[in-house]
Amino acid sequence: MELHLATAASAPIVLLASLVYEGVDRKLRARMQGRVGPPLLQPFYDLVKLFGKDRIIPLTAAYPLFNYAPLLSASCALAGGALVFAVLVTGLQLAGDLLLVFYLLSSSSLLAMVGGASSGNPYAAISLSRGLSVLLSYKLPMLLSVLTAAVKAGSTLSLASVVVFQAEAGGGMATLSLSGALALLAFMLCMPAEGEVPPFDVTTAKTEVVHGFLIEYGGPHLALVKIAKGVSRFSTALLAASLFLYTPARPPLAAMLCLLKAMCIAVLTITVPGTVLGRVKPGQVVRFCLVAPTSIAILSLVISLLEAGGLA
Amino acid sequence: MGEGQEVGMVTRERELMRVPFGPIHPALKEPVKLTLLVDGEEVVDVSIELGYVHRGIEALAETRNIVQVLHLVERVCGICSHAHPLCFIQAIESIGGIEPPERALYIRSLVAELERMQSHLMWLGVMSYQAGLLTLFMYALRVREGILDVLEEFTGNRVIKEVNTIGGVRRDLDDRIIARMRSAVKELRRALKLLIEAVHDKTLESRLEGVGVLEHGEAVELCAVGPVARASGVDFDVRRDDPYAAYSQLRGKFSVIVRRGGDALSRTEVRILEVLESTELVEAILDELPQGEVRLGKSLLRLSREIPAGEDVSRVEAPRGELLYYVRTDGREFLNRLRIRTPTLANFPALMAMLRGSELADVPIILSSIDPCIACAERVTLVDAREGARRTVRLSELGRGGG
Repeated sequence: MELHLATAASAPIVLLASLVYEGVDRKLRARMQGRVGPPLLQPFYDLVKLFGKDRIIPLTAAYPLFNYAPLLSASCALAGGALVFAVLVTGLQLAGDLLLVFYLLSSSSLLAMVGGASSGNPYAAISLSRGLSVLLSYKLPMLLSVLTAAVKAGSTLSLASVVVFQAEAGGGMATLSLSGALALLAFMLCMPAEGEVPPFDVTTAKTEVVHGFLIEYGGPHLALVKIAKGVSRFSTALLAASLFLYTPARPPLAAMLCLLKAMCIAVLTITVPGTVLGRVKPGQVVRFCLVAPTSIAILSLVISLLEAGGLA
Repeated sequence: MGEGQEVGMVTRERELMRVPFGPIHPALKEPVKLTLLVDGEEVVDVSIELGYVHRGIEALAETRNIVQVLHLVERVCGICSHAHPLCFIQAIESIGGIEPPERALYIRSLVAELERMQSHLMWLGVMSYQAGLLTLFMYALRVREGILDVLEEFTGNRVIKEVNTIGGVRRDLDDRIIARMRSAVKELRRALKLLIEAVHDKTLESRLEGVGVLEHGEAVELCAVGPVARASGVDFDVRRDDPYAAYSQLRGKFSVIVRRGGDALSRTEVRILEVLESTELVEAILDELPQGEVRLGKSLLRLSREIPAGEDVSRVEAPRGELLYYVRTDGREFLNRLRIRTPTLANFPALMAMLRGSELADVPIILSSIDPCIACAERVTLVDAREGARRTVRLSELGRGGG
């Protein structure tokens, strides 16, 4: 099967999984707070409702950007997540697909923010300026830890070879070596920022910037941005699961296991911090991301490079 | 709406951005408009505009008799709905030379302390919500329910308690309700430990520490009151320094919590520890409750007719700070003038001082750290916010009974 066909076929699965995760997230969060919480399928109902509403475009908005950014953002996120899943299922090689996934997921976040900020609303503008600095500060350590996995799998930038490497080694990257574990740690420390949950939800903080870049979005636009956010946070967790915690098994089973693990990673790094921690300030987010995860990621990359050098 | 165009717009002044904060904003539970002059993330200057929830209660009070006004002031604030009538009735009793029985004074103090607990717990919830910690909001409000439950059992209502009457209180405590209060207070103390731990969580502490600092000198100069002043080292509490109700007898039973930090964290600590002090006070009151009547034998109407013409100033320590009433009666069971100075109004100048030089991200936290009650503060001044002109609100404009 061709990889692009497999990717197209994987998109609905990834969308479904990310919506299920969102339902789990909301339910778990409610239980931790002593509430009953919404039904598990609430995110589906929300989307159905939002898609049935009218589009509202503010007079101050830059029309094409404001209108199409949510669609592009959702497509990028879906393509990124589906590509990871397709590689897991088919095991097909695509040179540089790790960078492609990373690029797609980053574009998704960026497009959603820029689209929102093009509405002309001052809160969205503040949110964009906050979001850009946060995005830069956490994507750097994330990229470094992805590179660590690539270096360990033989300096290849293809997800399939990282998967093959783990399958041959008989375990996940994080369980095999110190550098793998450190890379996973750095990756997971960045997850709350990716998921836009406390303590790092400065871009969409309700009480500070009134939902930030989401403020002028409603109806189908909001639904698409919600899909983009949900899929991109879940896909990031899926990427972590397949890069660091792959379990050798027959590909379809391994892919399913990766979905489950992604769910667990997301619960640990998005649901739990989002419930038990308060929000920090934008400056503190940037400082944290550029210190803790970045130094851990650099350390893991250096160790993995040394190991690779030692082997050669 | 003359200023409608300005809302939601960014106007650039030099390099500064004018960010409207309110009148409608998720961080605000009541409408008030703050206009922040922002340089990047730093708040350079701030102006405040009141008048969005003005209700004209003072003017209305001047057309009602004393008994009606007693029920009216109960509705000034939904959180301190005991402090207001208590303050009012004290002024009336002092004008009329009425001495309520001892047991009534104790019950007034008891309800005041229960009210302080639920008010501070509610505040803690709102504060943590502002800091993005929804979980603590849920916990704090659930703990608060325990206090509201006993208040409901005792007074019949969760919010509008209607306990006070001229010359005493309207309800008496029985053994069953005393036992319920004791167990509720014990439970609260246990739950409070968890809340205190949660407040000292690292992320929340980092949001509160050093935020919205009000120096001791500023607090004195700007006449801050209540927990806001006490967190800046002003050692003043009406309950101790100008005792009313049963507080003179309870003097040794509580201490006034004072902190010197002057930041949001200090204000949080002061309020939480005050809840602890209130639990002590409630237990002391229940232990020492004197026997006897809870109100004078005469009918309320006769008592209100016997109030002579006169004037008095009364103050109580409401949960948010010193609440002050000026009352002038006309000797024919009506009021010539009612003037209410709520603690929130007294704390607005201090709020402005805290906001200047703060970060934009801290504005909601600083604002809620004074525990603002906008609607309470608004009825005080009859100012047309748009023109800055003072005018009297007439009853006909208020639409009697209609709105």
